[in-house]
Amino acid sequence: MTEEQQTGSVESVSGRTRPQMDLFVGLALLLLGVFVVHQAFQMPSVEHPRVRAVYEGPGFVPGLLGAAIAVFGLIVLVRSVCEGGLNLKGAGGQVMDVFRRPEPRRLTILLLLALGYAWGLIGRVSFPMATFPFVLAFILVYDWENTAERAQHENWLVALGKRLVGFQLRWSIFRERVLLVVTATVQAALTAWIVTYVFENIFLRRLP
Amino acid sequence: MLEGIVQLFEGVITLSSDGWNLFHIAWATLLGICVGMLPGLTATLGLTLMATLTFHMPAGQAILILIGMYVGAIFGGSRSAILLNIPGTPANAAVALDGFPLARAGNVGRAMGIATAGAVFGTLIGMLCLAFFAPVLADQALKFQSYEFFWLAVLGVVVSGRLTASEDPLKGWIAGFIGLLVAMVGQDVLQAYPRFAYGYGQMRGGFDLLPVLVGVFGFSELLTVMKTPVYPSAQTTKDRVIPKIREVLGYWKNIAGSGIIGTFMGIIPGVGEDMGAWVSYAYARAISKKRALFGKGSWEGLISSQTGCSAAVPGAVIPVLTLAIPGSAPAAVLLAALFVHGVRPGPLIMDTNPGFVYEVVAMVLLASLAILLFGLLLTKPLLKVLEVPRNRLMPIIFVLCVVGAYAVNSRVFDIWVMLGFGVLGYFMRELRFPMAPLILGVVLGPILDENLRRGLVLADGGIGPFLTRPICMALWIVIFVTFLLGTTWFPALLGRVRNAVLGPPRDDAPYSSE
Amino acid sequence: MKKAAFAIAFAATAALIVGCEAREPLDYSWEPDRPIEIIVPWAAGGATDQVIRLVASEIEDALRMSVVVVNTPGGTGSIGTAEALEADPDGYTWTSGSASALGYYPVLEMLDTSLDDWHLFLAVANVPLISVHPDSEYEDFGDFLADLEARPGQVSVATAGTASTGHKVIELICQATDNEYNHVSYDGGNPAVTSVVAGESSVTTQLASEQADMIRGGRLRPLAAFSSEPLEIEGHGEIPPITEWLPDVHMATDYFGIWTRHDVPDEVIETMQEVWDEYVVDSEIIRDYAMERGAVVTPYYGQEAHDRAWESVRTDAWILYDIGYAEISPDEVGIPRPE
Repeated sequence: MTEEQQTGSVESVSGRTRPQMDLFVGLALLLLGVFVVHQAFQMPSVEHPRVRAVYEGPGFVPGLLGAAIAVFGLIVLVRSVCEGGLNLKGAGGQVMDVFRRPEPRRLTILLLLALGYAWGLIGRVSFPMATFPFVLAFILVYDWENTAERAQHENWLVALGKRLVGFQLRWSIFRERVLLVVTATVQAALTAWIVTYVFENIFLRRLP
Repeated sequence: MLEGIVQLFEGVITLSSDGWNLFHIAWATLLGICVGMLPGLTATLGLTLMATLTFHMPAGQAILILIGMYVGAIFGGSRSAILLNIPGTPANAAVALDGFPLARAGNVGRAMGIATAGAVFGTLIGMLCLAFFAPVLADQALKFQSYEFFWLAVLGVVVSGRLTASEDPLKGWIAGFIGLLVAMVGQDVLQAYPRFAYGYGQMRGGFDLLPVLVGVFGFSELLTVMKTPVYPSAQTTKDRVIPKIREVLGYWKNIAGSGIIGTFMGIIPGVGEDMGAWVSYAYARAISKKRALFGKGSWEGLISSQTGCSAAVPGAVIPVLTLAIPGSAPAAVLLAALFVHGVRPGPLIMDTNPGFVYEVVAMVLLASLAILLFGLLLTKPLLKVLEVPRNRLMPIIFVLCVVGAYAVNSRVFDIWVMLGFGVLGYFMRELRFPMAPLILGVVLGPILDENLRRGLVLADGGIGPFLTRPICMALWIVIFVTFLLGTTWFPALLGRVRNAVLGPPRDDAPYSSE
Repeated sequence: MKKAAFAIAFAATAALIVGCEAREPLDYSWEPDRPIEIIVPWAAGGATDQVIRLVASEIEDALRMSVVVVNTPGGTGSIGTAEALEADPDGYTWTSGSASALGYYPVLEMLDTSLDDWHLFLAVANVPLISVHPDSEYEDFGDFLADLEARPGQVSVATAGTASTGHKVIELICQATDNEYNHVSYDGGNPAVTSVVAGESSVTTQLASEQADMIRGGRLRPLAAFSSEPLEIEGHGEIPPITEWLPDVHMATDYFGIWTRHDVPDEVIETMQEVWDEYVVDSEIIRDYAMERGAVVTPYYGQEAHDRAWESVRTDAWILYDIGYAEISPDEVGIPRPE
């Protein structure tokens, strides 16, 4: 029913997080709410010539929303305390879980790749020059580990090699890797070229 | 009414007489089916990327493509639901309940055929409602003034928050309110005061909806997908796909009921396709003679849930056109795209752009024919889509996210907005916050803000009209009850009262999905 | 099959390209060799966007080079304008909007620019209309003024928000008659107009282009045009000018057009002036648009455009200052108060 379920990434659908986790979420929301209310009070109100009543001021609705979020935060906090959220033994580990589960390395690499591309490359070098290395790196990083497994599969080339030499050659992994690099390069070049071409020559839009 | 039918036919004829339109609807629907099929690519993501990429096109074509994408994706999601037990879009979760057991029992082709029939009939029923109700509703929509729009905005966030996080509604509401807060950034409508801009020029204009959407549904989805293991490979069909007409007609009660239920779920702001499917499923279970089969492989359950979620698509378009209020997250994207293309949806659409409603109806009709065609004839080739390696697809999706975020306003700032909201969305997902209310919040925030303050200005500071106007009263009562049902103590109290009055409940509660 | 389709598509594209190439050469002093970009510093579909897209298509026809309209909204139009101000002065980057905006950017400290930084090419002027619901008790504009007098601060007037054209119009009326009104802001001109149709607010002072459909449909009744001459709207008829009731109200027409940096090469300006004379002055699509939307075609350029725009820049900047919206006096940025 929710976005999570369809990705299959979490065990339960919109399920409850642990009370210890809720403690931090509640606290963060409370702080956010209070901050927003504080900011809302800084905005012009009745003392300003254009604002005739409190409800006309720009801070009115943000103030209400901030207050609501603070209240929600407080409810989460109280609920968490009631459910034993204050028992902080191992709580640090649980907080880290969010960042760790299930494959922290993959996530970090992805974030680095994405940020490096969108922040570091886009706007500094031309669009295709930024896109090509990104797509290439992305595929290599995520598919590299699969090459070993893919090399296990029997195929005609390996079978032929086996028959000729009598035993399976190590270079099948190497061959998979070469194949990967070649196809990834082709895909990256095609992606960079097609997207650039379509935007600049058909849509007539500049790219960053 | 007669005039409407004539206009509808005119719409269909003009649309289909242009070969380009047929070409566009065909590829857009096909692409929509593929996007819907692939777990990790939702209807909202597909629509968002398409909305940004078709930005340069003439309005008619762009909207045609978006409609095709929308109808196609909601249908395509049933494929992976049936084959993999992974709903391709959140809306198809109910389809997986019976579709997967049926497929495992060796009825792969028949299950897909029945789901296709459900999707086509659902879309058609929704389309008829769209053609019939949109003009009527547009006429009534002038009764919706600032007071009513304020409550509609609140309703959207509250209801969506409640429904998308059924186990912990609080999280849904928090997500919705954070969305509302995000919408506060930038110049306010009444005083043009730059809120939360902190002197940063780009922030004065606030966050554009489309880059935010690309972030929340594109980038954060990508982060979520890439850290999970690869999905299992699919089964293939052996039996016949094209269903027997008599078999499909045998389910006419389910089709008609679910079609109407789905449409109405689509109309209610914040409810959308998922609830269209779930409520239809519950309805089918309630009227079924073979209730025990539900969840273990019931044909009625399968056809009802797919009819329900497909019918919700045209349903969700109704308030987009007549009130400029989205019924669901994908509909919010559609609304943003309409504004971008200079179509002004709202109560006066029948005056300012009389043919447009029927044009949209005609588009939906063409899209439903396209899913019928593709769903039945291209079954096997389409299954190949599930074999596209994720590691190859995702970098392209990310490149499109970046280009899409940039394309709307040609601002690099929007790329940062996309990245920022992607990361925020990712952590909120990890903390089990649903995303749909967040997006509805972002869309409805300005509506809530300006209508509340304007209503107060018009009423000279009084809250009377907000409470006593008839439509307002209905709206706030619904909101209040929704809130109460989300608390833990109120339903318990209600249950106790019911037990006291009626005796212990029977065990066919509509929402038990096991 | 696929190959055949490809071949056909390729042939069609090729034919299209060749077809374009085959046209006779142009004799403009400036011949652009890449697409020209016009920045619309407002969202797509708005008043500026609609007009500029028509203008762009005329320039495209004239120069036989694509003219790309780029929407760069934000900062009340200042972000897109800043982009054009920073672009190379080569004639390939233009911006657009209403000329009066060039006056409020400096006054509101949004952008340090003045009218002299630009070459202006104007296309149409939009006239504001004072309109009411068809069932309104106001028979004419005089009744409205009388009601403003009778119920100070009670008559609700719908505009597109602070500093919008509609807001300035009602401020000018109230300044001239020393009245007060209840300002109701909407997110754009169309919602403001809709609110009067729905009966939520009593009067709107937005642009005729935003009201034309409603007036033709009989859902809105115009009382007066905010101009010194009567305004004709296709399918409705003539609307009396406000000067019949308030002869002294100082008018400033809102001109829409495109402009580029003042230091672009002379050939660019010469060429664009020729394009204006040959294509824009007699443009059918722009004239049709104006008739349908109640706008006035004003194809001015050069000194004339500058002088006309200067008038609206001054009026606009000073109203903003008088209503307390602008904090620095227009005097300080070299905009004297209009006499």
